[in-house]
Amino acid sequence: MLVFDVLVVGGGGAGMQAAIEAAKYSKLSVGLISKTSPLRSTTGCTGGGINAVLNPTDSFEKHIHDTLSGGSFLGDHDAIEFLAFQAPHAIMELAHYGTPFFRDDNGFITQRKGAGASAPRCCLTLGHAIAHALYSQILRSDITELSNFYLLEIVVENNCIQGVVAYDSVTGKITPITAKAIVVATGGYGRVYWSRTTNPLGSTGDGIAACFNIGIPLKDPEFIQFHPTALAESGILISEGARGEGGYLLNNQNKRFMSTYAPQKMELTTRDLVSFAIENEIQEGRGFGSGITSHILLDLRHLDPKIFQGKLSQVYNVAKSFAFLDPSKHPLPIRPSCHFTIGGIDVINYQTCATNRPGVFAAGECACISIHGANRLGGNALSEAIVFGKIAGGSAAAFAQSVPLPSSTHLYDATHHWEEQFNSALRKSSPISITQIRNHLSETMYNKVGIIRNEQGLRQALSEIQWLDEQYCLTGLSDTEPVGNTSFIHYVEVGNMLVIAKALALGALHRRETRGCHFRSDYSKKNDASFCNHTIIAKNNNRFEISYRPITITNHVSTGAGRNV
Amino acid sequence: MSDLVMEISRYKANTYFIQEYKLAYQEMKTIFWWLTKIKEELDSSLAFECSCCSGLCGACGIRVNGRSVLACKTILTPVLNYSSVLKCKIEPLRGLPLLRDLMINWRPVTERLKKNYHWLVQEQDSMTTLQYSKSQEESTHDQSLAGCIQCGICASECPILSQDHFIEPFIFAKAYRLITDSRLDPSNRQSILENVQPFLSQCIHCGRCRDTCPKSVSPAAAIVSLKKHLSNLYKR
Repeated sequence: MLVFDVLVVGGGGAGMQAAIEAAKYSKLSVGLISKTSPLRSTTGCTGGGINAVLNPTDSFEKHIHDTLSGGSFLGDHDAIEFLAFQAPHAIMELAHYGTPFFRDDNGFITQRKGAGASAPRCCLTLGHAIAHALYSQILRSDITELSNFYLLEIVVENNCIQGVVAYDSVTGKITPITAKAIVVATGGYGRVYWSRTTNPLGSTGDGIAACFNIGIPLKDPEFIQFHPTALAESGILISEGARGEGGYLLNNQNKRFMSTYAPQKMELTTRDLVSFAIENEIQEGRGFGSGITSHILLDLRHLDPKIFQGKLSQVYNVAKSFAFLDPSKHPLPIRPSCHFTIGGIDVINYQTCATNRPGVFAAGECACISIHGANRLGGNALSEAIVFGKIAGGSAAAFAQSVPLPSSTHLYDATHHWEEQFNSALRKSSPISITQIRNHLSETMYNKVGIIRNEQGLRQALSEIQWLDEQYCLTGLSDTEPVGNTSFIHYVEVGNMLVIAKALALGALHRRETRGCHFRSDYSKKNDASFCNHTIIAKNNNRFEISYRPITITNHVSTGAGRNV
Repeated sequence: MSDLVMEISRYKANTYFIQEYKLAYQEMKTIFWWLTKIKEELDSSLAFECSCCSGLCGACGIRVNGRSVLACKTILTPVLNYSSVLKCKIEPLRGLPLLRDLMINWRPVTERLKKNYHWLVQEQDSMTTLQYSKSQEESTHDQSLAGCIQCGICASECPILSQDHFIEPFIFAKAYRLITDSRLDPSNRQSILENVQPFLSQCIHCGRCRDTCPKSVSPAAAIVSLKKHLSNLYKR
């Protein structure tokens, strides 16, 4: 059996950082399992850059304040301060690991002033360059890296963790892994909106669901950041630059409808308002097409065509490659898509990334620490993953040093249980397929728990999720081959998404206010008296229980300007 | 509407076979779209890998009518065969171990990288200096090589890798980027050059790694430059 002192689940930025940090502790064995190669993780697919205070015109105080106000003051002050202070060191570390940052004339890292930032703070590089740099550190350290290993369950007995059960798709075996401490870094749950997300296929919240099932609550699951301009059919992102350079948004009456919603700023207003406007146009019948691919148009035809070789070359390439349209000749069909999931595993101590289960730590998009509050600022996601991944790895290592090797009795029982589940799924003849359940779920989520929410829609969504859950229990698998069974993985993924979708809809139903990216058409104002709190949803005897926890407030102090490296 | 026959090479339980799927042809759909359609509507047992679906991550390398491409950003252009049926042939990448059907098993590749190519990693543990600047020129040079997403397409297309003791072409691009890093100390630079040396002479300079790279990285050019650096090393 595989035995590790520290087991990291998930190979993105946070997971790799955690493993690298844990491996620095001598005499500890460190394992890293991930469902795809770490190079294919969400971190590797990002393009925006990473925030850190380096610029002389910037300051920690500005970073803290921008993050707080961008998140409608729902983030925890102490955690945000910690992130701001640690981020510059994280950039240094990435640079040392070989991440190629873009450089200015003086050789300093190029920083861009992102939306909602009061100074240039976003260090420019490509996500995949970060992923590859971290991966090279994994290769040179003494870490057992196993890709194509899919987390099924975290096993805990008497509040003591024993390890995990995972499906090894290379050997085809359902395998127990003993571990003294676990770091969960499995990424977000954007795929609950399936085709309406910019996230990779693997963002199905597996680690969040596994934690939820052992009694670790979900925090703020209702906060979902949507990006206004993604291609209607595939959900692939068209960068903000398209609007920044003067693109128009048109409805089916050929009208620049933003004049109704933001007459001054028009298309250049905030992401949330643009997303809201697009959905409202579609809901009121001024869109094109029908169903989940309904859309409005992003028109760039009036721009100087030279721009498609320059500033908008990436937009041009995406449009040509994935919508098969030349944006200088045709308007692009666009609809908002889920970009980032703010909620996640309830981390109760930002200094250790600990959860309420001793030995289980969480970092990255799967965790809610909470930095982003009710909305995320561009560039903060990578900072969070890199900074807190390292913290989680260090605390997991320290924890592992302090405890003996756990017993594995329950681990074997859980493994047999999953083997049975695999076999019984094979025997079922499905009235409805996993694909149908997933598509039904994602359409329900997008239409009723998406950008514009109200009591009636959320209640309908909850009953539909309940129905889908019942259908899911009847559904089986037709692929009998143990090795490389991607159908089995998807079957478990859809099960996880049903759990998270229910918590998400519940959180949204009970948050009777509008804050950040959570928009309630029936409660259109922010209600600080009742809701300046984190939503906490916990599973107790198969019941979802909802409670609230006040945010942490400190009087943050000015700490001087940035220092460019 | 005409029919499309997709001949897909399958591999499971140590057995290879070709399976044909018949679908109604549609214009302007990617290979990933077609494979998903088969998996979701005709045969859920077809195994292939894809992650970002937008040409960024490199998970979906595949061969279509003999050409190695990324499935998510390649539009299917079938060939018309003699019986006037639209056909296309889908195979896994060559030169890399197979897991199942069209899925590559990257685990042995990683193990090999870990075992043999640890010298590829910059040995920079001390973070004593805050000043860590790099010129803009060097950064531009870095970016051109750092574009590699390790999708394996160059390995699949390399005629030497399939028959001989060779290394995946992307490794040359990585090595070249490291030795041109101004921050690398000379002994590490020399060690990297000595490690790639035995492989440099085997390259036949066919340029296929350069021509097929979806990210416009050129292992071929890296090999030429590495050779130059190596001869300079011995001149000194």
